Amino acid sequence: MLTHRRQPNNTAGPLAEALGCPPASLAELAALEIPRQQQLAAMITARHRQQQDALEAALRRALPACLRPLLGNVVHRET
Amino acid sequence: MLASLIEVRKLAALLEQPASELDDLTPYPPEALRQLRHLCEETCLADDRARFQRWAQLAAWLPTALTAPLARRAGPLLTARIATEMPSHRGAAIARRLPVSFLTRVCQHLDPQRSRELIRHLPPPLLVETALTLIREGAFMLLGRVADALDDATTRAIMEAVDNDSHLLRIALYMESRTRLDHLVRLLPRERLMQAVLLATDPANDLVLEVIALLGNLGYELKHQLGDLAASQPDAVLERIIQVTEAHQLWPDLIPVIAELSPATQQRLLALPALQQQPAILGHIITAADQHGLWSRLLPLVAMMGPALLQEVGNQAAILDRHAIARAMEAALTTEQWPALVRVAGHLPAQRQNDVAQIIDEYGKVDPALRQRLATLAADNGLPTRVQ
Repeated sequence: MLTHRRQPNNTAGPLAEALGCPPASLAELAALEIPRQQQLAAMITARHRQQQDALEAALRRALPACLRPLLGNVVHRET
Repeated sequence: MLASLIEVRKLAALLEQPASELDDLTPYPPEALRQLRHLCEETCLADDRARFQRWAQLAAWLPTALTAPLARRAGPLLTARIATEMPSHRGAAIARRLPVSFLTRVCQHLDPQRSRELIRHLPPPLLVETALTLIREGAFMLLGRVADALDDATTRAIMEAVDNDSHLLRIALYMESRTRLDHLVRLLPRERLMQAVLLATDPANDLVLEVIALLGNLGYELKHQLGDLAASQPDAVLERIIQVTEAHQLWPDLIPVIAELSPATQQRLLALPALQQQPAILGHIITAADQHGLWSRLLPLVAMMGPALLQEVGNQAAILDRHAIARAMEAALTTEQWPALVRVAGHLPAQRQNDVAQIIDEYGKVDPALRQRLATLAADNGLPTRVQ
């Protein structure tokens, strides 16, 4: 599985938490109400997960395809 | 502001949401929204960098003749992620061996911010071909972001290769750097630029936002020339510009453009039915001028208004508080636009007229001659005694 780089900051609002950044980074958006921040955080998390899934799928497809030309002769000899 | 609107569109595209889902973010400053978008990119698209850095290091050991076919087998997403972590000259050497159709798909996964150097190392003919393919696919937002990284020679080559000026306008709308946009516009032959503005103001094309973005980010001379050209179109075109500006609340972008137009064009704009029939528009213009420090650009227009429009401005200005009145007067003081301010003051509600009078009194303590001058001006404009 792919791993998230940053640890969530539990003292931040939902948006800063989803982005793993200090609340000061989003100071100008502080007026966003918590439920709206939660909605945005959910969108970000969903997009992050979707990107992770896409990367995982791409990796699953690519590894055999990339290894075949590199190891093809070896595999062919062994079989 | 238009910059905020564009940021919301970019954020929506990044999060794969309809822009309408994020409409409530448009009142926030563009810098704050850009920061949010960059953080989202970091979280969503730059995940697991260490893994791709290792792969980029590994790929550096392989000959490019082998890496290019491997990239095709890896697919566009992984190639984009690995290429972003590679030394740019190495990534460019591999890209040269890849077909344009594949590079186009890689571009759609590239982080333009991180890939600037890689893009700069690519040969102009390859970039032109890739850009043309992306245009055919309607990837204007992506191209706008990539355009920031291009040098002048490549930009010229792409502009020459693109035969539809509306495409250039759509790309310009999404460019990140506004100063770079002004520079790139100057690379276009003047005649072509004028044709692009005419094309954009054609009601058959939905390019009003693009025109406002372009005009709003140009230097004085171009803004004046192109603004007048755009405004020389039939009234219906100008009405459309006003309505789109109102719908998206783009007055902070349009007021500076209008301020640079010739007096004759300004008079035409002031005579548009929209301003007469939709007084709320005037209220929004006044609010934008106050919130964005544009009083000095608005007051000359006020000076040109006829009595009916002026009365409406006075009515709408009732929403301003004493601090806003003080800011408008400060602009009149520093840019010597007292006649305009005194004219509109005559149409303000009594409470606001009192504010004007008190602020004039305060100025008078420092500069009695100014107070006297303003009193005479007020009397000449038939203002109540309190203001005089």
